Amino acid sequence: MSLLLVIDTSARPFEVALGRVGACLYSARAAAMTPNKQDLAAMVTEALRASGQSLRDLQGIAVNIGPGALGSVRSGVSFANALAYSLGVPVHPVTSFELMGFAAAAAQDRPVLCTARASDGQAYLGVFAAGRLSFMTFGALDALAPATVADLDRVAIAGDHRAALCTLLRNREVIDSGVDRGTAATYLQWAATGAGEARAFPEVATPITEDSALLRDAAELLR
Amino acid sequence: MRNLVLGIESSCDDTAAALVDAAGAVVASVKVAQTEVHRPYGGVYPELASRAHVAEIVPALHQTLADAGVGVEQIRAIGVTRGPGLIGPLLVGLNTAAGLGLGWELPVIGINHLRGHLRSADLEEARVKYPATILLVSGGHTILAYMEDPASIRLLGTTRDDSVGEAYDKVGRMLGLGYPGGPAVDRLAKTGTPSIRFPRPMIQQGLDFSLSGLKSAVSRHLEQAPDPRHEDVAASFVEAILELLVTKCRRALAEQPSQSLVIVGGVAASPQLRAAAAELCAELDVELCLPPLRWATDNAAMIALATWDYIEQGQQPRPVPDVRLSIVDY
Repeated sequence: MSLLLVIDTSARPFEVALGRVGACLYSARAAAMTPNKQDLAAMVTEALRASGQSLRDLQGIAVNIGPGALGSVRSGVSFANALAYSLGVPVHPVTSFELMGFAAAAAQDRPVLCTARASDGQAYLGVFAAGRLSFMTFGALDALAPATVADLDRVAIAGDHRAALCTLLRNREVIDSGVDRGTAATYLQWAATGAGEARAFPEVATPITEDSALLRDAAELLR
Repeated sequence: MRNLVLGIESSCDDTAAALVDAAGAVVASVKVAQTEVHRPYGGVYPELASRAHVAEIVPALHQTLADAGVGVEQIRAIGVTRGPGLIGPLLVGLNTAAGLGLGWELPVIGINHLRGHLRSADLEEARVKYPATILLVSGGHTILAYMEDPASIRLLGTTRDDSVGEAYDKVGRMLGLGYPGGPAVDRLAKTGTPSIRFPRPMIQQGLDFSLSGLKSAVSRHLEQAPDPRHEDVAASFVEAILELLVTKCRRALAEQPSQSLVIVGGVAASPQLRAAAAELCAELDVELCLPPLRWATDNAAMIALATWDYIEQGQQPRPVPDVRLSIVDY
């Protein structure tokens, strides 16, 4: 089984994990790190040392492409793209909703409405169901939350806006998963379900932004 | 043999990588400009700059290595701009360098962008005769410096507010000339007469610059004059800028006798500035050094050459951003 490095800088603390699909060998959080003071290289070096592995053993680099803190996500994605390129291995882009949704779904056997804060009071929303992210969108939370879950009988909620969602969806059966974010190690478990995709150079990982092609048009959802 | 440094530059709106040897020979240099990304905004939009850097930087590095036809085993170190610049764009370059350094097991050195500019005139060939006075005029910087030799730098003066390039771009926008405004303002100025006496802020004192008053005066003139002739406004603005720059250079050269005057930065492309500097240097018997524009504007080869200086001087700043670096900092 191939050795994967997972990098998650979508929120503080930053995280790295090292392991094989289905089996985490090492994971660590760097509590004090900010984008300006980070040392991802040191975190990765320590992960390899602590688990007795070498850089040359890595067969892929998974990286959280957000949604999340813009500058931090971009830092992790830049690092992961460059490391993957330098080692000649593919990069595995994963969204924070896939990690968050998989972590929340493990405890709640129902679809998960994932949310993340964005600038100007906007939000990212996504539905994670049957082990995969069904879709993601971006816009005003209060308008989009009911529309996003309209077709779902039961739903769990995860991410930044859990408290607001309890109010916005109060006439529905909603379970608060208590999950704020997935962990870097979550990727290794999720990948064991056959999920995740490898991209080899010249393809690179790209952070999720409000103009991302991965987003479903909010206006269309609200129609 | 590890005889090359890989330079990475992403402090503003150019994504660049280059391989340079210790003598300044440029083995490969790639630059991806973002002019079209920022054109609709009339200036650099930092968030969009960051996004473009993420998309372009690994392909630019790959292209640089491919152009050079060299392997990683020839690279001695990676030098990456750590400031001054825009924080988002800087973080992209710094993290990219950190990832490459880890994967290739190479040291990664954080480089002061301004030290790169100071050394840019010696790319490809040693053009600068020291001691030298250097005028760096771009969209981000307006700096006069004195260099006894490549390693000893003294700041003589800088702008208190806007940069010269910024003033050019803003006047260009006021005149409806689009973005970037500098070259268009210069072109329009050639067809006009400098009939308007715009202020020359701080021209009597010292070596610092102030441009915002001049910019505002142009704006006021356009608002208040009954039927302003744009070509005369452009000509008058350029005349004021030239008088400011030439006066400060003359004063600097008088205070710190130099063998050469070096002009770098995007505004070094201005034909009017080049002509005025040539006249000044002929009069003072100082050699004028104008490097090719590909080195005078932002590029990664200058960062790589500065990295060689850092290696020689035993300086190894970590690759973390510092947006406020001054010209004398490492």
